[in-house]
Amino acid sequence: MFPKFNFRWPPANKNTNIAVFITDSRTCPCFYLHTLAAALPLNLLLSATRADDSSKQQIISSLKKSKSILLYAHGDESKMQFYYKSFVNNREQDIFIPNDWWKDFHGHATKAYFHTCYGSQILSSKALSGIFANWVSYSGPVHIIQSKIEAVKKINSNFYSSVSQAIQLRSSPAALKAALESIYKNIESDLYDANGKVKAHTAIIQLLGNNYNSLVCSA
Amino acid sequence: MQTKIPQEIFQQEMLSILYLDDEGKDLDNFKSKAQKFRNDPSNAYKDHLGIRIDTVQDFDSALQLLQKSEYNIFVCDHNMPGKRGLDFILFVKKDLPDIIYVLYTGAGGVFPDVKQRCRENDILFFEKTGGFSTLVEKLLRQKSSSGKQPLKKVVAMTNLAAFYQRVSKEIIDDMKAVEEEDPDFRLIVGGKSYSPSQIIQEISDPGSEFGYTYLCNYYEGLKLLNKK
Repeated sequence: MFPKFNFRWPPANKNTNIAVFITDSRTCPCFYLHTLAAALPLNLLLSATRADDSSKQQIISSLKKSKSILLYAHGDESKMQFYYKSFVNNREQDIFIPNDWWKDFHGHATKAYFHTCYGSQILSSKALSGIFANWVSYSGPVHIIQSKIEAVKKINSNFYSSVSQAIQLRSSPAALKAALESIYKNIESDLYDANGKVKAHTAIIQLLGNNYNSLVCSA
Repeated sequence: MQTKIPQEIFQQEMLSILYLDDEGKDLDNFKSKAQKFRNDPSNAYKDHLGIRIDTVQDFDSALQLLQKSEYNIFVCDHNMPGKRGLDFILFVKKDLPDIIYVLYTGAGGVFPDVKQRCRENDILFFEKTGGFSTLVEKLLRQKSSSGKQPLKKVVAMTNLAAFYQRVSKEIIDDMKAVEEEDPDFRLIVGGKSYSPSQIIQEISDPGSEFGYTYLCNYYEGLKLLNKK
């Protein structure tokens, strides 16, 4: 069954043509993106659920106008599908995005960044291979930190907004991957505050090591 | 999990040693030194380095075992009845070049040419009076410089083992401070979330896969920052 989405248009620059999928689950780290949405150069934000199936065509129609797609979600451990977490009937559930649905993007979105675990394997799978010609994603589990510690919030905020900018400016997957690597490396500049080194720096540095080395792009 | 860090750190790497000496007391002494080394709490390789020692007292038995078994190190006394240890090593080495050879003697100074011949033939010279930990260090260095595959693996593993010892306290202290400042702090790894106390627990468990991954990633992250 096709997942139900609700969606909204944030007050952002629509010329940027970036579509973003995120979750409505507060327990999912991707939910953090809602707080950043207004500052990000997005033209469409999708989250789940409670919309009826008739919204599907409207969503797809809007997304087809987007030159870029950012997906902040989860990759199935079987490396076959993407999913996100959502509250349905007051219970958190994993909502799988049917692979058939992505086929509607074939030949439309020119660039894609999938911030998900095992994104490279899923995108290279038989079901999705060739749908997105130019993508950057991860070959292993993605690490994320949720915290109200100022430095962590700053790092998260800078990361998501830098990614949105990078996907607009970089034309090839290799260039986008290099830009993302640079974003990760620049984490160091956010590691310090007025009082010196911030707490949680071991977790942040290990996140850097993991995510940097898992980054993969299409040929 | 994609990581450039070798996976050996939590695998028991084995120094598989065959020791030939005609003196029974020297064989016992060697084994006793190894046992002491294994049990030494300050031994940096304690949890990561397995040591297996087999002993023989004559050339024929040594030759049979070397040909049949998978030893990566052959330690041989020099002064033995009938043949010099060094000559025996040179004879065996022709057919079994991948083994690390150690000439183990208490009388090296008596034969000034012995050390020179060892150097020329890629054989480690070691005096019996030396400590076992020094021998292990020399073996690791020898492995590294010789470029022989099993030795490289051990060097990488022991470097990480030393790194683990150095930074695990730093990680634990950091996570304690984080928990105090933000009890809701979570590290999400592939959909599973870890609180600071869970991270501390995993880091403190040498068999933990998560702890190992955290450590390897931290190592990689530091390398990246240092490269900038």
